[in-house]
Amino acid sequence: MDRIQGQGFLRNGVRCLRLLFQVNPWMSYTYIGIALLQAVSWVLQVLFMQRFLDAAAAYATDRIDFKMILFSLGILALVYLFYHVMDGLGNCYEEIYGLSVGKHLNLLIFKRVDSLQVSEFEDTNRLDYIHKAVNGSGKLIWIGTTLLDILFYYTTYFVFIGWYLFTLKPVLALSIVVVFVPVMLSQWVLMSAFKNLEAASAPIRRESDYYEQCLTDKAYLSETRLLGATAFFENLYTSALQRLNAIVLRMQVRKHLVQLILNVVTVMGYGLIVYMLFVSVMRQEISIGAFAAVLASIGSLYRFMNKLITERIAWATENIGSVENFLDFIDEPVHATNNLPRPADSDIELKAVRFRYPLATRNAVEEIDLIIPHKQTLAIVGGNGSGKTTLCRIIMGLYPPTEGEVWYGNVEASRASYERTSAVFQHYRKYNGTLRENVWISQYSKLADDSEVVSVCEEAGVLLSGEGVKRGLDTMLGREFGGTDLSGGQWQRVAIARGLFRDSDYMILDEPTAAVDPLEETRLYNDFAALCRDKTAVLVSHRLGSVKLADRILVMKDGRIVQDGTHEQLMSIEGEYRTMYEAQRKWYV
Amino acid sequence: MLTSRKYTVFDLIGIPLRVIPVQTVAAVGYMLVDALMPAYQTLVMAYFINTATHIVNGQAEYSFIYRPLALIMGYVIVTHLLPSLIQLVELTGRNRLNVRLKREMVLKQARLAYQHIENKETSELIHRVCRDPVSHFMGGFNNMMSGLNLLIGTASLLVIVMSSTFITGIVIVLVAVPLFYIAMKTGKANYVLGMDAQRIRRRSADIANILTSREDAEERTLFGYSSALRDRYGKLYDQTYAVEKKIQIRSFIHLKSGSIIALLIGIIIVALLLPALHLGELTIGLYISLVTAIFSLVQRMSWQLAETMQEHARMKEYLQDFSVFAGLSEKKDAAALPVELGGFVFQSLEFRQVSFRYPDTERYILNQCSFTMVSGKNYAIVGENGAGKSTLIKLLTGMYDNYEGEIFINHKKLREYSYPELKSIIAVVFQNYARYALTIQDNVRLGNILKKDEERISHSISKMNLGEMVQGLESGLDTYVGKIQKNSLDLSGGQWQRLAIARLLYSNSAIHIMDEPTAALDPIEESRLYEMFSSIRADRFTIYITHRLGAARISDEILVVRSGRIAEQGSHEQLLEQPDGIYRKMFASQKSWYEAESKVQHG
Repeated sequence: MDRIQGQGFLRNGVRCLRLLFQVNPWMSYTYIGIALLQAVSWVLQVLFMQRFLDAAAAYATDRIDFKMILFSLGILALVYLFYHVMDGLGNCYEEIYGLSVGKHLNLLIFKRVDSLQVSEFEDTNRLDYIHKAVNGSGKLIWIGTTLLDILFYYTTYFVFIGWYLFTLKPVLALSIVVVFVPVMLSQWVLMSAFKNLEAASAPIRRESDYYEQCLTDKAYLSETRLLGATAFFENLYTSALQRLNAIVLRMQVRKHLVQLILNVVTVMGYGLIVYMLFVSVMRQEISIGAFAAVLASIGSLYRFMNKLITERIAWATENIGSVENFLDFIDEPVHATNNLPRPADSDIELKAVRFRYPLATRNAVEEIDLIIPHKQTLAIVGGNGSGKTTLCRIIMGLYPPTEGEVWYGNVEASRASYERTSAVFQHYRKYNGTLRENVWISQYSKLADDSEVVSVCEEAGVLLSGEGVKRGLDTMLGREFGGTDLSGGQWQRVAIARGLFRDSDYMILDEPTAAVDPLEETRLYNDFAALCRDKTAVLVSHRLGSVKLADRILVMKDGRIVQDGTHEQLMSIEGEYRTMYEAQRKWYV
Repeated sequence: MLTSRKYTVFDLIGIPLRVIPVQTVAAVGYMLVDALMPAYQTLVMAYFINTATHIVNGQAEYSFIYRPLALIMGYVIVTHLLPSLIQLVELTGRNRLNVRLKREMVLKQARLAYQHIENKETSELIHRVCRDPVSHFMGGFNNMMSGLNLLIGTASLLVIVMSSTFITGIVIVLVAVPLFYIAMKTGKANYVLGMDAQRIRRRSADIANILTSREDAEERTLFGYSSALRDRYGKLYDQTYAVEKKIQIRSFIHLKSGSIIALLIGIIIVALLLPALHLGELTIGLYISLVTAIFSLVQRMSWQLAETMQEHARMKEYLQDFSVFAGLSEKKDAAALPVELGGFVFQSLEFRQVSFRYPDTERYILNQCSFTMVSGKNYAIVGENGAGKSTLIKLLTGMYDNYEGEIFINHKKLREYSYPELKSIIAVVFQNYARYALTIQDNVRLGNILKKDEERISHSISKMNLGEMVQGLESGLDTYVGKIQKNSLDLSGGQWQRLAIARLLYSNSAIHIMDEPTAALDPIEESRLYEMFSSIRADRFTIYITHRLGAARISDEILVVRSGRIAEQGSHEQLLEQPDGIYRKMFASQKSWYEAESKVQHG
């Protein structure tokens, strides 16, 4: 298992480096150059420190004069200066390198996400995977630099230091191993302990976070307060926190005990090295200066090792997974893109369409045969979860049916482009940008002047002056970057203007949010139907009265179309529509 | 511990000292030991080198070396074994401090005046301050410790130098202090630069979010704006890249000039000590060990000094936020249990000339609003969105009390009832009622926290037609609902709603309020709920708030709110009879949806 993981690490590491060199070869080579120089600067420090200390010893016993010792110190100062410059350069360059590569990696991700099917976002596993891949793009660069550092910086350093120790006395080279093994082992222990800790503590953490919410979150606070339930939740909260602490403590005690034992091993190794050094000094195999320099360098060797393994390699192994996701994700074969032009004046035809969401146990839409003639205004009504929105997305071509076919005239929906189709979605976006951008975004390619934007805004009933929109189309919307926040109804209007701005023969209005009251909603649907008289339009609603005007009404229940007809037709027969309608109506007679 | 005052960096030590004294003292002790280690190491190394030299020169016995050797090992043991132990001690302290801090901060939030909760800026501040407070406090504490560590370590080395050559020591201090000061300054400057870079990044992060999020998948795909936005992202990125690159370079120049200064100090010290070495005031052993100690100190300083200062600046900012949070006003008795008023019988509720505007806004939501409601009747408050319906409830339930005019319950001013008393009088199903992820039983039982009566709980549940569902469950009433506990039951929207109403039924309160709980329901559920409720609620005083007039009909009297006051009041029939009445118009309009023959005119 571990071996397989190790192989995966290597394979992904290589892929990761290959990508970095592809994206920015020049900076990658420069990075390697700097890493090498950095390692050299470290080694020079140790070498020249020894030289200086030996010189100082000589100076103390008058074997060399003041000028010579000062000269030696001067060189040492230069070597140290060189080190600091390289260290600063290396770290700074790493950041800049990361920034530069980051743009390309992000663009790769954006492009790949753009080619995804909308339905893929409904699969929680897939969504999780996409999220990890997106996160991976930010991490890839640090994994890459860690690998480059291991290959060029740390390896060079360890080889040189090993060689230096070896020339002093062959057996001293072993000290690298003595330092390495316990650090490596303790890291291994640490990682497995943390994996267990995460698994054990996650549910309790979720619990305590939830109780905190019950006490403080706006969604709960007023009710919790009025019920006088604060103390009730406080008890639950404190007990969850204490349980969490107990778990963390238990894990940590175990971890630290193991570490303590490994540290004892380190101490013994250290002792051994000191003893060997001492013996060598006694036998005058190495100088006093070398002794001090080596002893000091063992300390930094240990810190080096520690940083490399407990920080960088640990981080890399933890995150290589999401980088692998990233690499796999951008390498995935892309589905054929929708690019056939959509025939104008054509009907929409659904043949035996079924749709099942990923991981769902039943079909969201079942056995739908439907023809929507050109320029018809069709309304789809039904209760929550009856499949209205899903059907709508299938009609638009956003969801490919699991079974069956959708045709626009003689072109299959999955191969047609989205040109000439527009929509106002249930969950429209409130873009942080100017009012103009908020409208224009539905068709960037359209070279429109302000008058066209203004005219769709007017059609949709967007207020272009007055409170909140002081600067007309240039008004910044959204709080994020200092813009104004519109009311729910105004945002809704902006979303409609957005849908209208796009040139279209097909128009879809999925139900507006519940924040809009029924009167407003009726008004909205009526306006909308009037605006779409020359188009094929689909309206979705769960409120029956609001779509009476449509040419045709489909009633959906449990994913099936249970009724189909005009309002008058549906009212004249026994059925779902009339039952629902009567249920609401009786309050008004 | 959490009081309304200004918190300063001293609290970073003061608070841990009070809450976790043992661990704090241990941490300080360890810091001292660790800080003195360089000095100890220097002295021991000198001892060792001098002894070794003597032995080599035949001036001392071979066995003399074991003592310095053992002392060196002592150093190795302390620096390698102590950290693990001290970390364990720290962890116990951290845990304790965490519970204490979190508890107090959560309770503070639970007691906040309601206006803070609805204020966006304040709630962002609260979020910032309350996310992982223990990391901030412990981080701040440890940061101070490491700063002190560096200071003491440096000072102790200086003492060693001075004890051999005093004058050199004085010169060193004179050179070092100003340079040290400059190095510290750069740490602070870097913090500011880092904040600038962060601000710049937010813009492109927003576009990145649009280009990848699930929520935007539909618009992104249909409108096909991804490639245009990618271009824009690229351009924005290039702009910020240029700025950020500069910031990075500047901050590293700052950082490194700090460490080069430290290096310079080190070199000067090493040079200044040379004469003493030559004159024999300093043994070669001490000189060598001092040099290695000084250079390793420089090494440490090159990063740590700047980092410590940066962290310190961040900490100060946090403490500022923390002080603001601690100073936020609270609602009295917000967290208290309800207190039952002995023998309270509801008679009447009156609003007399009540005007109200939300804090920091201009517009009066309620404007000289007056009405009276009496016991034995049910009322509906209707009106369009934003007319002020929900605000009436916010005042009545004590969420806001800075209104003008007076509200009376049983002819006694609302302000004269304590909050705990109000809690026992009024029960509400809010528009966004809470969906507590507790057991079914606890969900209902919260309606009357003072008394647990299982029989009545079951009764309330069966009244809301949930009895059958509960009977089908293995653990019955003790089944968890929501998504927090394992094996929880996932309720549908309608079931949650009925559970919330069951909670209301279980309460002992005299005044019942339903604030549009049906807004998110589909039509069939909605009408079913109205029917159900109209059959149960018969005996108790209930206020319905709604914008659906059909629902208002079931009540005895209807109040129409418009522009912050009551425009009409009367029974359904009375209001319909008023020519030109608002209610009459609204009813006709809503009714028209359901009349097959009449068509809604195009707006």
